[in-house]
Amino acid sequence: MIPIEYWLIFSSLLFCIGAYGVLTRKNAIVVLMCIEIMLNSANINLVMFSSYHSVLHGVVDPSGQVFTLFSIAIAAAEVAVGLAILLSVYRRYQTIEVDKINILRW
Amino acid sequence: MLEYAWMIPVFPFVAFLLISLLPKRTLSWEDGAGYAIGGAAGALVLSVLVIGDVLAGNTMVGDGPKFNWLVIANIEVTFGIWVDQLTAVMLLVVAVVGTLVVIYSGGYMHEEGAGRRRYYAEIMLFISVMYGLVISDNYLQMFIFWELVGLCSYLLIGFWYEKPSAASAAKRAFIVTRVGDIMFMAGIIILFKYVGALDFAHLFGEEGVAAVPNDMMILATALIFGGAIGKSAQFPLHEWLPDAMEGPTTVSALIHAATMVKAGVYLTARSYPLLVQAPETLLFVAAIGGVTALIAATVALVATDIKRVLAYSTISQLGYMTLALGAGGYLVVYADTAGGYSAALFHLMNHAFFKALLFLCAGSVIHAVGTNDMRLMGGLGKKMRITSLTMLVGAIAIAGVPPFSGFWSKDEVLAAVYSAGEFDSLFFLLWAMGIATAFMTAFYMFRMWFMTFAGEPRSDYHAHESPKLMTVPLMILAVLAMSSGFALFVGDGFGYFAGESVAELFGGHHHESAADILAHIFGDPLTYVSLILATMGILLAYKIYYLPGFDRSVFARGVAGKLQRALENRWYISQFYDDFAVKVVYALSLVADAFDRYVIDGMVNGFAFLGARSGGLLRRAQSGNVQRYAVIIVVGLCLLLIFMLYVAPGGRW
Amino acid sequence: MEVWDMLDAFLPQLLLVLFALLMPALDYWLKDKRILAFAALIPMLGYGLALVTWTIGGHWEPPETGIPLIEVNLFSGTFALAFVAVGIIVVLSSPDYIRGERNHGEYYSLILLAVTGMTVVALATDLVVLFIGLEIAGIASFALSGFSKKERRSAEAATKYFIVGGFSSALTLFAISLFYGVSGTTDIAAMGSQMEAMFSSLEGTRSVATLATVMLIAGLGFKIAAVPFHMWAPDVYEGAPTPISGLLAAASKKMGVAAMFKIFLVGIIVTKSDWDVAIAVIAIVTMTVGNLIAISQANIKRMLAYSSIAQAGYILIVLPVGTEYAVAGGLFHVLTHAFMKSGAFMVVAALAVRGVGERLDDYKGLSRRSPFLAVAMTLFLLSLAGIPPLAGFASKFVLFSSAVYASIDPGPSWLLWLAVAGVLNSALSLYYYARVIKKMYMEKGPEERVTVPKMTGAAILIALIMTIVLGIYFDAVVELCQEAAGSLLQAVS
Repeated sequence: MIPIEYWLIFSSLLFCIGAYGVLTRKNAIVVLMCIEIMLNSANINLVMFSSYHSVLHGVVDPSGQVFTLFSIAIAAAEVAVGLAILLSVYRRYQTIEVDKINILRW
Repeated sequence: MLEYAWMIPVFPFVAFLLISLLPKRTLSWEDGAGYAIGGAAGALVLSVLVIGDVLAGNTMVGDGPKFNWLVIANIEVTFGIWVDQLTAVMLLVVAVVGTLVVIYSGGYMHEEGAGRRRYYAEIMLFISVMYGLVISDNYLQMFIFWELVGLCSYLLIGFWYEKPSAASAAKRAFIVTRVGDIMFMAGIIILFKYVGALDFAHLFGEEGVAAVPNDMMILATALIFGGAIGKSAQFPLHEWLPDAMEGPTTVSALIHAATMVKAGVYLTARSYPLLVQAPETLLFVAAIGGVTALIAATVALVATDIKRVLAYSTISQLGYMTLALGAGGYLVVYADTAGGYSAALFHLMNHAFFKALLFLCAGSVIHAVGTNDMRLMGGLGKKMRITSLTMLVGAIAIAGVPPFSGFWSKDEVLAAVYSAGEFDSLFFLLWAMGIATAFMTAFYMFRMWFMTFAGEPRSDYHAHESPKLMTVPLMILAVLAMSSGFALFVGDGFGYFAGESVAELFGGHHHESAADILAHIFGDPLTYVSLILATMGILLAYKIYYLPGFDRSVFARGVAGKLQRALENRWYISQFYDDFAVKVVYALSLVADAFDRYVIDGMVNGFAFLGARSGGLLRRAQSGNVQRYAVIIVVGLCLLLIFMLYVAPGGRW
Repeated sequence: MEVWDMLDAFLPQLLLVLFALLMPALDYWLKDKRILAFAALIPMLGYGLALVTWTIGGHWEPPETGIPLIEVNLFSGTFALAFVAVGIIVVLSSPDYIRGERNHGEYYSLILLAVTGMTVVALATDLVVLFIGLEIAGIASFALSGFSKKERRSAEAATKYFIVGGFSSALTLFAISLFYGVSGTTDIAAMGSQMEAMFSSLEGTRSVATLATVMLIAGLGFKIAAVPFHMWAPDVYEGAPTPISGLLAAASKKMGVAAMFKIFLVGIIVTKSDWDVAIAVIAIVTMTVGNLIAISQANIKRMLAYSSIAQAGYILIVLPVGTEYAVAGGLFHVLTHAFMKSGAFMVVAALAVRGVGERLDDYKGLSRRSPFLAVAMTLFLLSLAGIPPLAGFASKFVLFSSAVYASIDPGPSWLLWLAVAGVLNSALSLYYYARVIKKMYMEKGPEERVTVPKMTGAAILIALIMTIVLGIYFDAVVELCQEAAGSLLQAVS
């Protein structure tokens, strides 16, 4: 079995990559994808901890895995709404570069 | 009768509801003045009955009917009533002055037209909440009414809100008094923290007083007095009161001379059981009072707006009351007598009558002439005989000429301050300031009277005496201003009566006969000092402003000129607030805004730069707005993590 | 156990979802779109009525739920009441506001879904359900804030809300996954004891818990707009359709509060000593920054946004204090704020319907153009500032005094500073509220009358009555809130 630390480092890296992308990428669709990466890093955590606890306590602990299924569904819904929003933004601004969308400000 | 005291505020409140809710045509005479007079008179009758009961020796202190407003665990927040001698004095003032002012308004506000309805509604609401304030039996209830009184004052100062000066004066009054209110609230919170209750019965009881540590008692009482500083326009928060004269004169008379501004004095007097635990606060109270009395009197010397003269005079007289309360506390603590306390209340009552009289007379003059500027008046005495005579009565009363009311109470106040000097020599200085104020008071009052009524008209106007509706209240008030001083000799005497409300704080409470009091007053050489000074003040005003041939331009030259300009600019205090204090708040806001905009954003950019060491990223971080928000989230998160791990008390590692 | 027995407790949510699904169909059939609003009101009124007769009336008890993931108790009931009330107010005022738009069916459908998500959060006793509730409401409100498709600002608000919101849900989910890792359970009530066992058996887990706590503060801090996670709020409130701004400020934010109460005061109360100072600092910074920046705002929706940031700061006091009385104060403030803030936004919406702009200067002389709206706005603002006897005063009073009590018993004494900061901030806030009132009453503006749109007027009236009633009769409400707080905290003891 792969040690838990490896998984943790992996998911943390994934999370950081996603966060970095959200903070820096110009294209809103890429930003959206980066958010998905962040959510997925959490999903990896959930699945990994689920199996870890199952081993630790000797009984199968399904809640992490169930949680993952739900969060994947939620992420899908979020993408759908997100793309719709980007579409309507594109109609108004003729761009989806996030730094160009800034008439609302201080 | 006492258990019905809660109904006193109900009368004006019902009038307020009727005036504001009934259809316009049913308001009939003067757009609701009838209802207003009815409401005020109803409260007056009930107040008189209650006062009669108190005179008969009954009080209701902590054992009155209550209703629970809120119960949380073991803490009860109740609404109740508290009627003692102090309450009775305030009730008398509010009831009499309130009713007379409302009657007077019937004539004064006649030309106001549609605004009258709003006027009467607001004034009824004011009277109602003022009664509520006076009969409150706990600090929280008092604070609620305190705020409502402030709100009414705000509305009434801004009554002519189309005038920018009125609107800004209203705002100023509201904000400045709010500064005091916050202190008041903070004081209440401290008391609540230690005692766990806010009603007077608990707070003033032995257990309540003992529960508060000494240094906290000083802080709490000083903060509560801070509320009084705001409301009673004491230095350094006094500048709102002259500006408040932008409201109708009736409002100035009722709220800003006779009743609301007394609320601060009332609060201080009400808190006496706490104040006497903190002599440091008492000294502070007295010093503030003395300084206020002197500063306000000096500014009144040069004011040319008749209402401003009266406003500064009000501040000055309120300073007297505060001074007397501070000195009185010392007397309670060290000399076991309530002399200063009752002197303050005595002056409070007398002042309410003669100052309301003066204001209403001023209103009558303004009504006739159409200006507030005394330089444009003159010679009105012949045309407005009743007004000029009643105003003369008021001026004599406030100047302290026996046997009018002002003489007796001012003498009591100064005597109390002088005898407190035995325990702290600072009181001698304050006494000297009081004496100087007495001299100036006599001077500026008669300056005002001569400038208004004597000599020849200095501008073109067609003055005529005001209608009966206005002159009758003037005459009633004039009689009161002449006679209210004799309360000192009625029955057990005012001093004994007022002292009753704090009698349990000290041991020796004995009453003096009228002859004793008289012998006391006229046997004291200091009485003659103040009498001579008052006379000199009047004579000086007579010489300068009545007799021809005095060249007043000497005031404009040299040192005198500089002094005069300083006085005309109100010692530059008002300017200080405008230039400095108000701007500081706004500047703080701008700084916070700029901080968010530049410092945090700058930090963000810096972080981005450090993180990636790339110029392109820096550029992007500057231009992308939403992402900047996300970056701030991350930065906040990191700071939080560092804080929790290393800085916070629970932090490990 | 039968499936239907299990779904008993979810009946109101099922009803809400059913109506949400019906809305687009009704939209297709109905000519008069206002009927849609009334249809959307049906499930909410039903739910609200049931909640009122239960929580305030005490006429019936909800059945025991068969599902371990949720619990119907007074705490959830009180929050659900606030959400449903705001939902009703928002739906009532919507027909006037969105007249010119298309797709009314979807609009109401999304509002119903948002309310569903919020009530799910209120019910949840498990992190899975809690997260699902947060996301249902979140996704629905992303779409709602971009509803005015012709408006550039609305589209932009939706984008910003969506990006920051997605980022924050990722933070929340990651935090939850870490909590799951260090406790081995997603049951909020069981988390604490399991975490303690883990701390003692495995070194370093407490630091992981701290990291998770920080990420959770950030993730939920976004929902309640706590500084420094607040930057989205003013932009989104300004750009979104005004009734939706009201929904976000008055209800969506409260959902975050409900989630925070549950996780911090039940789930991770065992590590309170780690996070209480941090949250206290955030609370004070949030109220101060919110109030200070509000002073220099010229747009009324932005000003209200900063004001509600400040209000979030007040509510955050509850977490470090943590006593039952504090939670009661927090609940009470949630209720009162729901009415006064939504009321204020609805006044803005009513005026926008009649073509009055959103800048402060557009409100000059409003008292003569529409006395009702001016009075209503004045009362809402005064209540927000905490002037007695309005509701805002009562709830702030309970909230701040709880900090004062707690500073004496059980301590620590620095909690007193939270109350001090709260009182000072209330004083500060009066400055910008009074400025609006001054503009409405004391300055001259255009003269022509503004008529009150009927349904929006009704919504404002409801909010107004509740703002006054909650202030005067707050005895009963505080009692309810205390019981509700007890029902939350009993899970710990």
